[in-house]
Amino acid sequence: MSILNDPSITNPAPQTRLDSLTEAQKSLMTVWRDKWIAIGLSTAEADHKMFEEAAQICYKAAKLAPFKRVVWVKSPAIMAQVAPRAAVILARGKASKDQRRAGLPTDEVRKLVDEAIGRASVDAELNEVTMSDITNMWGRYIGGQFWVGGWYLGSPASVSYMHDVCGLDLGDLQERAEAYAKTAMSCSWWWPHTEFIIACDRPRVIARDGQGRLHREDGPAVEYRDGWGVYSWHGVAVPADVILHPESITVVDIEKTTNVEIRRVKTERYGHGRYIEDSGAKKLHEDEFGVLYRKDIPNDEPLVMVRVKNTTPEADGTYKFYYLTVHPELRPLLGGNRFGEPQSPTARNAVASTFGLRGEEYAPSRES
Amino acid sequence: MAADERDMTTTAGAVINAVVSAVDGAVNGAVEDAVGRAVREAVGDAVGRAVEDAVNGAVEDAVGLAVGDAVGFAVGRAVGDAV
Repeated sequence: MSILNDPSITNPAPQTRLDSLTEAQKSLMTVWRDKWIAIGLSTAEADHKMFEEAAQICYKAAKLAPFKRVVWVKSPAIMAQVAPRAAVILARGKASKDQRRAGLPTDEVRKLVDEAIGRASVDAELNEVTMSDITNMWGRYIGGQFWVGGWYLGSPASVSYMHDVCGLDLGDLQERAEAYAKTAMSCSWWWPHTEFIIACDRPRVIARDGQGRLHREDGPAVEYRDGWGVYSWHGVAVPADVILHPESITVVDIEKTTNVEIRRVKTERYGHGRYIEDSGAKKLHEDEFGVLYRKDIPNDEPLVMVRVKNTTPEADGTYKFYYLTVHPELRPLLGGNRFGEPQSPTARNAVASTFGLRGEEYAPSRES
Repeated sequence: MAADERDMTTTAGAVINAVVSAVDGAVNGAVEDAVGRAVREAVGDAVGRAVEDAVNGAVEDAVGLAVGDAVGFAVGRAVGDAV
């Protein structure tokens, strides 16, 4: 039986005041953390019934009349476009002539919007607009699975720990606390309106790297069930083409990119060595250890690489060359994100730095 | 994508932006803001205040760090902020 289903742990004696934690309660912190991270990163189907029942309790707690229905959408892209339109359609019947004059969409405009919305989930060109809308209106949303945590004591992870593990009884507020937790357990973003809710299914993919950053090499790192998603490379949000079509990246494209993080990703996807060769990098030095290059990059540190030859020939007798990225001042890499002192720009010093050494300390045995 | 299709898409995007702006300003701004805020206040803020009142500060800090913030970092900041 899972520890989370053990009634002796998750049904503690009710408390109205919590002044300390027992060792057993403390030991469950990591279990609770992991439980709620799993809920937050869930890609299971949304639980419509659980959400709709819980959301009605939330409306009641907010002293709102019951909503009439929940409109389920498959991605926040659709939510961002549909929610204001739906509100407008309802409001039109109530709005005064003055309000209509103030900018409600004409039929012609609405037709265009219909066409655009139909394409929003699949059209990468619209992603920027969609993301902008989502950002502008996020304050009206509720995060569902993405708002399970935070330092904030109202977060479902914290509140449920206090209640389920420590027995804290919130009295009249307990029902709404549990309802809010259930909304987070059952769907992704939701947008409450006076008469309806637009709620979003969970993503079908959430892909991360070993450090927990959004990362996927062949599709959106967060992909919703209609295909819309967010592309990310080790936590840096990038345009879809950087992930899907790295072959379309050019030196000109890289050098026109003003966002430093995105430019770094594009350079990595293009290939650092290839970029050094194709971008007119400056040759700083050459000796028997290799060739040292430097490429100055606006608003970022320079890219410095040393080209070295694999001394073991290939089967056909040719030699392969490799590029090694080094610190711009050739500081030796000491491990643990520490570096030694700067060195003069020679290929020997550069190669030595990759072994955590200074040039004068580097004396490789020659391979025969 | 052909150039003419790109132009049409860009136009549609501009229309969406214009409509959303109009909607924001003209109709649902005040009303829908109030709904979202009311729900968040009732189910999140009110519960948070009740927990704060009932829990010792050191316990709050311990749970906030080991549970709330750890979950928030892994989910909210790492994923939710990107979507």
